[in-house]
Amino acid sequence: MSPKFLKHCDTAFGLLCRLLFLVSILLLVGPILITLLMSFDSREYMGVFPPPSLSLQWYENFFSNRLYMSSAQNSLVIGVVSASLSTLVGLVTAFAFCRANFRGKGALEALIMSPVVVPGVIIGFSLLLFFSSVGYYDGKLRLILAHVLISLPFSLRILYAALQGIPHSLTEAALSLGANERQSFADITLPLARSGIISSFLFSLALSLDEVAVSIFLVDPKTTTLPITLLANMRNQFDLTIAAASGVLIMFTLVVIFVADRLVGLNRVVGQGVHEEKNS
Amino acid sequence: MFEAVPQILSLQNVHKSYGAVAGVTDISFSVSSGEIVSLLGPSGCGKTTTLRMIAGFEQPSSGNIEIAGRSAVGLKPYERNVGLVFQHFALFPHMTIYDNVAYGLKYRGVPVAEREGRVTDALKLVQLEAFKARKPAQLSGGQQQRVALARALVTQPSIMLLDEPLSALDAKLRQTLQVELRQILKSVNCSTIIVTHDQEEAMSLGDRLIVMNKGRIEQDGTPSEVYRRPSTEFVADFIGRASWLQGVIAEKHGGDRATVAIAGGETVKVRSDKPLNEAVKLCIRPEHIKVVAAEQAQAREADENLLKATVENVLYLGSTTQYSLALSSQNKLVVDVMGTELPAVDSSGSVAIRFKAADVTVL
Repeated sequence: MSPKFLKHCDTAFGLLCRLLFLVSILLLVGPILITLLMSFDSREYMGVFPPPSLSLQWYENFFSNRLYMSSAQNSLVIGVVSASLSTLVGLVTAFAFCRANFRGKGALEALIMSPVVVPGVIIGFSLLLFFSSVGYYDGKLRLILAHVLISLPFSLRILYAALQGIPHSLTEAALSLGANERQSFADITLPLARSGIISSFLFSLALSLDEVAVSIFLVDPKTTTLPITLLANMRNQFDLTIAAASGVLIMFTLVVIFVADRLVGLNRVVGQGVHEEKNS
Repeated sequence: MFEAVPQILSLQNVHKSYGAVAGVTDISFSVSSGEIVSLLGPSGCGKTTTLRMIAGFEQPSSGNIEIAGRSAVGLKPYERNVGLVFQHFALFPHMTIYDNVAYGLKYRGVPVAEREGRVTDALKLVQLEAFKARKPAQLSGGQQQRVALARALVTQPSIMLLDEPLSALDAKLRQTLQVELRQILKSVNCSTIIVTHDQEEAMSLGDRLIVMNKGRIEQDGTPSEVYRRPSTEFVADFIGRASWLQGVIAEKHGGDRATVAIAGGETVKVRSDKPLNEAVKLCIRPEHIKVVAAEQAQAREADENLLKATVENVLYLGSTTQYSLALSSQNKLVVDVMGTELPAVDSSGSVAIRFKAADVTVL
């Protein structure tokens, strides 16, 4: 093949990559933009895009609906509690994985990571069977436990990376300066793992807030989460309240991202919690 | 025990094994007040394990470690009064320089009122007072090293332990800091152990040098003793450069004077107490050998050796020139010659070498 032909191939390949990138971005952002716009639609029915004029009626609908509000509240409580638990358990486990060498370490890690590969439907169904066989029926607690189970693999990964990024010599330095193990953990390890802890919490919260596959088995008439309610409403009265709910969720996400950025810096929340301080 | 100089640290028959693998074997030495001891050896020789046992991060399998007259076996690191400087300094990245240095005072029970003065004094000692509000990442390697030193010194430890203190720095900075480090340690008169694999660092920093190999102590003495009178082949080879000749004690002349017959039929006059017919190894430092032109070859003094040699290779190193020589016996020698006194070498490459009997180490 002539060098000229190869060069054209390179150019074509470069263009193809760019095109692929553009399509991916469009697929990611496009639907969100359309949903956001449609949520401000002033028509009484679900019409074609774009909306002829704008109104806040779907938002009014969302915020005045008692079922939506109670399930949003449930989602928030379940999300915050399960994310906190998942981060706490993840931190303790990651610390043990970092510091101790014990038999069955690999097996334990595989066990904790397994919800990533097991389909949500199977987890949900198994949990439903499990909870009913032990006679446990409190919807909220069931959901919290299920969400901890689902987010723990991610918490563990994030926190394990964060703790591994802290040189052990820092702890040893603290010990040699008179601090005991507990004090050195509080003074050195915790502050340096802060970005990992925040990322783990936010990631778990996000997972919990839009979890459907597992939750659908565990909700009861009194306790349901926002995604499940949206799904149910989509079946019987298909209107744009769902778009408004999405709008609210997107706003919520933006606020969380903004706060996280203020606290630790966005790239470190999204990336791994490495301990190095920025030169400020 | 009644000794003139109190022992700050003493290790008695310390063993450490990891399962079936021996880390260190039968280590005994002591450090007296204000003394700086260098622990030198190749990587894996057990010097870091020894340091970590003194610091309390590892416990000896058997034997005793006494710090300031009290057995430290079984004590946690924070129950011993030991100051540590780590290889990569281990400064707390999220704290200011001031907080780094003040950290030890908090847990050593120093009253709040006293802390500020002591931190300031420690930072003055290492000339970094102006940097106290900065974070470690904003300091250069050399400055970080000095902060690590101040942080350890401020708690007034019984003994300071420095783990490869200069190895993370570049060569030029290392030399300046060697001088500075010794001055600081001497000015506060703190007993110190410096672990290093760099022989120059070990010799220049330490009042005493302990050479370790394969978990054992090979030699313990002042740097000049260890360099001039290495007690084992390993020490002679590890510290400085040396040329080796093998032979047998052929004659004894009374006192410690002896003649060694080396391979090829040549003889070398040495000082040794070894008995007749014992196989020996002779170690000669490159700087102790003088190269002269072959025609003026005659020993000037009774105690001097004179051997014929051929030049095989010449390496120009700036201040010195290094000659690789072959003796008639095919033994190889390396000689350093100062730049100003280059010997006349004839076209066949033959020269003569002279060295004193007292400069030969017999092992």
